[in-house]
Amino acid sequence: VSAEPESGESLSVYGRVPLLLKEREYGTLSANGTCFAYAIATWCFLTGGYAAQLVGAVQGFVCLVAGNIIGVFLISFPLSMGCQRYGMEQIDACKPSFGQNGARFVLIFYLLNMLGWSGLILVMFGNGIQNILEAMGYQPGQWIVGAGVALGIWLTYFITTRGIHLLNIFNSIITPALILTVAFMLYMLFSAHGWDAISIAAPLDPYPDPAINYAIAVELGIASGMSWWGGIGFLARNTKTRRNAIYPEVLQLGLASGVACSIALFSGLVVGSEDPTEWMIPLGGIVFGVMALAFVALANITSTVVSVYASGLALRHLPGLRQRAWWQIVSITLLPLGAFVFWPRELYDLGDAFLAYNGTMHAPIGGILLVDYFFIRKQRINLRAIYESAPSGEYYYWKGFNVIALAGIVLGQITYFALYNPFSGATHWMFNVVPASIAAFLVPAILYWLGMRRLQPSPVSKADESARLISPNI
Amino acid sequence: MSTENKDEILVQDLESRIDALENEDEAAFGSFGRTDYIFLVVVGVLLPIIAMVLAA
Repeated sequence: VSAEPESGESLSVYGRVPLLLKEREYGTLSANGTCFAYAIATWCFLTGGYAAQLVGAVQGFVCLVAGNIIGVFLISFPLSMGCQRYGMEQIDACKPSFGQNGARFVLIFYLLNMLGWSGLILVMFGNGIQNILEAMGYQPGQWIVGAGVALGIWLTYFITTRGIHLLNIFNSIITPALILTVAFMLYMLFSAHGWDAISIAAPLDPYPDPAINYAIAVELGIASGMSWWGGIGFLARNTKTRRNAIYPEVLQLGLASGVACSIALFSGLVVGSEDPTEWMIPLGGIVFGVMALAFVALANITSTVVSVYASGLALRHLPGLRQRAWWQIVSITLLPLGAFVFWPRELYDLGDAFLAYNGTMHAPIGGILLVDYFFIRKQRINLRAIYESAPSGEYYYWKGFNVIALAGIVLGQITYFALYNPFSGATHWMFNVVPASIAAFLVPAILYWLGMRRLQPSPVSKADESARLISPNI
Repeated sequence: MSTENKDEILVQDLESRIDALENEDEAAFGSFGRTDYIFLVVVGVLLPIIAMVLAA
């Protein structure tokens, strides 16, 4: 058991107690609004830029929209339903399948995903500063990018440690500005270039085989959808109805985000650069271009704040960090991002491989959670056991680990790399038929289903109110 | 307030939340039926797969 965080920090904001229905904020409109604001984020620009290297506008549009929808749906369906029904945070939602301690492995993937994206968009912030200065006639060296990342880390610390209120103020300004920027980009693309020019623009840096380019673009689309895994539980546990938990995620994080990625793809193809910070001035001219660039640069900070905020909350699962002050948690979270200050270009160039690797991280987890929640538990879980660390707890398994689920993750990773290695670019012939992240979703799901059928966990029918927590892990 | 008292209050709050959520009427969480499942599988999986096959 841990005490409330220091400095009078509210557990409803910083903690992981299950939310009651009356405490939840999101109805239909607000759930869609929040998901939409979340979906139109700067990482869409990165994803679109990566796709522009491989495929043209039509194929890229299909890969990004359809891939995003599939990716979001597969990983969010069980999480949305579980987190909405029980009001729990998403690492907690992994405990029935992975075990009390096994869920911490999922936490590692979660943090890798959040911090990887944060580092990439902080470099984008640094690139944005460099391009603004160059547009104003200055010629700063490459060091300005690293300095920009350092400034971004400090701004992130400043906003995150001042709480969710300041973040909401920033978001209320930046999110509409970013939506306007995307709309402005779309308008300029079609008014200045037209669909004919966009649709015939050649990909920037494709492989010799068009089939491989298309297969990798499909993979990027699906992996991009699966990248939303980190935000699903936070959104769903705050919704009042089941439909509000899943439909806005598919519609906004899947469809709207895919469309935003596609606008970025079109921009990359027309301008001839994968770097989003190089699109704005050619598309909008010096005045509007610099303004748009400034909005995108600031939006990178708010996106990073959201990621660091979520990562900080997730770190509360670790016993040694439950009682730490919030500023200490934020500092620990930001520490690994220091690498992006010193090697911004080198790490930024690994971004497309990192995006594809998101599929490796989240696909096996998504497959296991889907089978567990819908087919093994029949949508009934033992909420008390989620918060029970005693070995007698239902989700304790073997020393706190469900070996079947963890083996599923390993098998999922092996399956993914057997089909496609995002770091070397090596592919298996089957990769042209089955996307690696779909295979890495299905294989662990089947293994888990077979394994858990032998264990035969009993479905929970009704809460036993006489039972009390022996060793609560809150 | 001592740490022990805070912990006790926190656990009591958690227990009451667990009881409330586990015993909540399912209807309170909104309806979600067969049509929803079919619609989501069609829109979330089948149509995107068809689109990707056609664009290949």
